[in-house]
Amino acid sequence: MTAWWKGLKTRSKLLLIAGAFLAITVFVGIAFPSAGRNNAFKPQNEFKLDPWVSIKLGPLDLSINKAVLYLALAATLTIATMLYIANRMKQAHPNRMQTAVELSYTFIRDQIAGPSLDRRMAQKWFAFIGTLFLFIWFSNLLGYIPLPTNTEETVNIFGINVPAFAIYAATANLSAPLALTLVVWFSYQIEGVRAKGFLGYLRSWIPAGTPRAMRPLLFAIEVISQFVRIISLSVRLFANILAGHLLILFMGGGLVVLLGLAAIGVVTLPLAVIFFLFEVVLIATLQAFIFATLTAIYLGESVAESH
Amino acid sequence: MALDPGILAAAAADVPKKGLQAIALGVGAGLGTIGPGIGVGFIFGKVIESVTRQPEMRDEITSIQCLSVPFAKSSGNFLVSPNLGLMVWTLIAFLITLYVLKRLAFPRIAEALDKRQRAIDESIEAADRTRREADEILDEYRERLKQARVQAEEIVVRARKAAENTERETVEHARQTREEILEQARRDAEASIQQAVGELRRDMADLTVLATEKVTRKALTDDDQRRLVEEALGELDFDALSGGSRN
Repeated sequence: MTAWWKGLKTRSKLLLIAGAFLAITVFVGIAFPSAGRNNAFKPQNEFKLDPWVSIKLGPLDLSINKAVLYLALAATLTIATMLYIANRMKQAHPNRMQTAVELSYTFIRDQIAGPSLDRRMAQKWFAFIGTLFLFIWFSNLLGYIPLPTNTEETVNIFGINVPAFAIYAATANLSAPLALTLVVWFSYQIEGVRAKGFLGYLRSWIPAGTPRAMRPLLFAIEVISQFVRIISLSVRLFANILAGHLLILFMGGGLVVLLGLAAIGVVTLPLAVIFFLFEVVLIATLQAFIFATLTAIYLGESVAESH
Repeated sequence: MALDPGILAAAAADVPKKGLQAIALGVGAGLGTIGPGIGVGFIFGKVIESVTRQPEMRDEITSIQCLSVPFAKSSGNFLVSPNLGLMVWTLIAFLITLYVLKRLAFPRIAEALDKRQRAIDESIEAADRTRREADEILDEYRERLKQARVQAEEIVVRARKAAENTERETVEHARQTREEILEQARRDAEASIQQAVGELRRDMADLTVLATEKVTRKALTDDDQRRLVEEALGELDFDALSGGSRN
């Protein structure tokens, strides 16, 4: 870089980069005409769950598909990592991985479970919250490793049709987060009823000191909010991960194919890298953290004396 | 999320930390929805705009819209319809993970962390103890050093005194010895003198007797002779002979 570039302020540099980026986009859009829109390519099929092994128990469709594979991978990886670390713990000198897992363990204990739950509740629910965090975390992170799972598009290598590499996550569909959310929801409702009795628990939904006239209204709102929690908790996780994958998919080539505009790839590919890093570094961990923290808050709230 | 009265009430009521946490989460989640919201609105706006401009391309445009907004077609879109079988699989995977972690992983990690914490505490305590002991030993050592110094001084003083005593005794003894020797010498000398004086007197008496015989041709009787000599010698002063040695 030459001297004039170094002399610029950070803001000017950023503006210049953004301007150049925009100029390239416009130039590419004008200079290279579209080769015609591609209607055959359906990006959402990346997230379609084709049954690989069909298992049907009456009305229940337990077919093995891509999501089941990712679930199994996430569970296996979580268990393997934690068992490996647990067995290594006897050694006095921890290695890096062990230090990282110990950090996440103390993070779960002191940052997620600790602030919301009292000692007894924390002891009782630590394993649940910790497993939730680790399981979701591993699922999310696994979602950014390309694996040969796209059976719709295959690559022919020496006569064998190898599935194309694709990214997917167990948490990128509604079912997995919803199942976890339902477990959380029932857990804290049952814990609340156990702590205060059924009527006492329902009564605790109304904040103390509410005027008598307002109580039915607040109770109704609280009932709605309790059920909205099922949706908010599951959709927050699933939509974040799905949106991340969609963004990477579109920027990493989906738009090029869809618009029939190969040159636009020059612009979108750097964005794809940026989105990828953003998702891996921030969103994967943040969503697992939010899910586990909300679980801890709900659990703590359900047994708390006043709401 | 922002309308959740439970969290708002919790935030307002008590426990500021917990309340703030809830607010932060709510705000974060709320902000998170802004992006997709703008995006979806933008897509719909563009679709409407495009369709009004080019009605003949309506099908194509709406097909793109369907791709972009899977949520728009909630009925039957596989992306948002929960799959019961997958939910069952999720539960199975999660429960197995939970069981294994709860049984095998977490207790060991917790135990090892506690143990390490205890070990750290203990070693800190041990280090403190060792330092205290070292301090004590150092103090004791200094005390002993001081005592040793005092003792050394005492020993030196005593030795000096002993040496002085010995010297004095030696000198005394030497003097006594010398005096005894001198005394002996004096006595010997006196005895010699006495003996010499005796012999001299005897020789002188004999000589005198002999001389008197020669002069007088007459032999004196022994008794006369001796009486005479004794008288003569008595007049002589022998003190002059022994006086020199006495003084």
